Amino acid sequence: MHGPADEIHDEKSLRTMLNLSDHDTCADYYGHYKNCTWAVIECKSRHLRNAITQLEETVRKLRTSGKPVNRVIVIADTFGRERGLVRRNKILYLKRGNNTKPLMIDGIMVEGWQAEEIRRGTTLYDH
Amino acid sequence: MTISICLRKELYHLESWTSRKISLAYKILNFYNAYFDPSRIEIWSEAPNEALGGQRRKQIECREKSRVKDVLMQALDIVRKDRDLLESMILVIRGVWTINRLKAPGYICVNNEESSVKTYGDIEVGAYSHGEITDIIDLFWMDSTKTRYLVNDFLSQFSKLEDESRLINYIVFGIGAPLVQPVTEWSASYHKRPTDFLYKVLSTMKKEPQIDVYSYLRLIYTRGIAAELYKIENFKKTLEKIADKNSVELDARSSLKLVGKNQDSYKNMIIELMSFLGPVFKRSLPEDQTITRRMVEEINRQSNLD
Repeated sequence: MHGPADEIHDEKSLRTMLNLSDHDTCADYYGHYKNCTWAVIECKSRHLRNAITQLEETVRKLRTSGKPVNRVIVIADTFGRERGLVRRNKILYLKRGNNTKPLMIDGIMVEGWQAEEIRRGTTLYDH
Repeated sequence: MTISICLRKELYHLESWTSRKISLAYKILNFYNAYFDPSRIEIWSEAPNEALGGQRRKQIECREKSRVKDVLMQALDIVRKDRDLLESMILVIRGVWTINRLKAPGYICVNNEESSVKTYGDIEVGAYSHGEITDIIDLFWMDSTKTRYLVNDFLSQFSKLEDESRLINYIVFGIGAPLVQPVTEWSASYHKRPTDFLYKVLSTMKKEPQIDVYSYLRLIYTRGIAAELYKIENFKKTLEKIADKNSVELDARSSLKLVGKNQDSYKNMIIELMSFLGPVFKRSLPEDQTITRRMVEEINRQSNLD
């Protein structure tokens, strides 16, 4: 589901890598893809505000530890139920009144993938 | 999953309103004392993370439970001095849930920011995903004894307390952000006014194409139908029967409390309730073609008269 990746750290390994306690939130995966990008991924997200908090805190801790991050990805069944969040071309946007701007975590636009799109075989690598 | 608690909107002074919400959050923290260990209290404006436009105004470490009340009072003092912050405040008590030796980071959140209140409730209790635990539902419905305390007793206590019973409009245990999710994603609920529950059921039916009546339901006054439905004495018996059949504990003495025994019990009850109501609406409401035919007939009749 993640396309051609040559290194994947799941949450357990990520927690060990960043020395996180049970009090800390953590994303589900951190992986290196063959196109030389490092991605932080949060899966099965049903509460987008929480998913974004988890991603933001993980990206910050990874960067503080000197680890590279190039892509930030949320995988969810649906987007757009939670107020102020919209998805266009697999990018999440923050909508406030007439103002719409991409959702950014440490300067990286947050991608939003539907679980169904991944099940259909489009890989994150293809994007 | 999240527990969303919605309070009755009253014309309170925002400062005293916020104080009441924080006091209620503290009571919730005390109720879950054996299962939730706080670690810090954060005050945010707009959103509880920067990506969503939030700004962290203050963070106070607080690992000793005996200090929580003082720290909350300290937080209220900070917020009440700044009107903009008071209006956009999101106060988060961060900590960790421990249930049946499983741990997950979690929070109790007091929302003042308007869109957060509409989406997550005035007070939100939740957990972040951790390992096999995707949300708090996995922890709360892990074994029936725990569910009885964590859900049934919670609803009983917070619906009966003198102060809160006047304050709380509804409490929903559901997946994701339950207030914006279909009612099929809920696992337990308390509604001070049972018609609010029925309104939510009918609103879900409006959005479910498989129910087969969703386009007709858009045309009717849902809140009015919900109120009329609950007045029917036998409807309560029907609801009790459907709840009982699907292992959902129902208490409809004055308010309406529904707690699913298992994770899917509530969902199954809602599906059966919608399947019961759907055909009734289908028989009662005109089909699109009938309306179109009548419109054509009327327009032609008017044209002929001219």
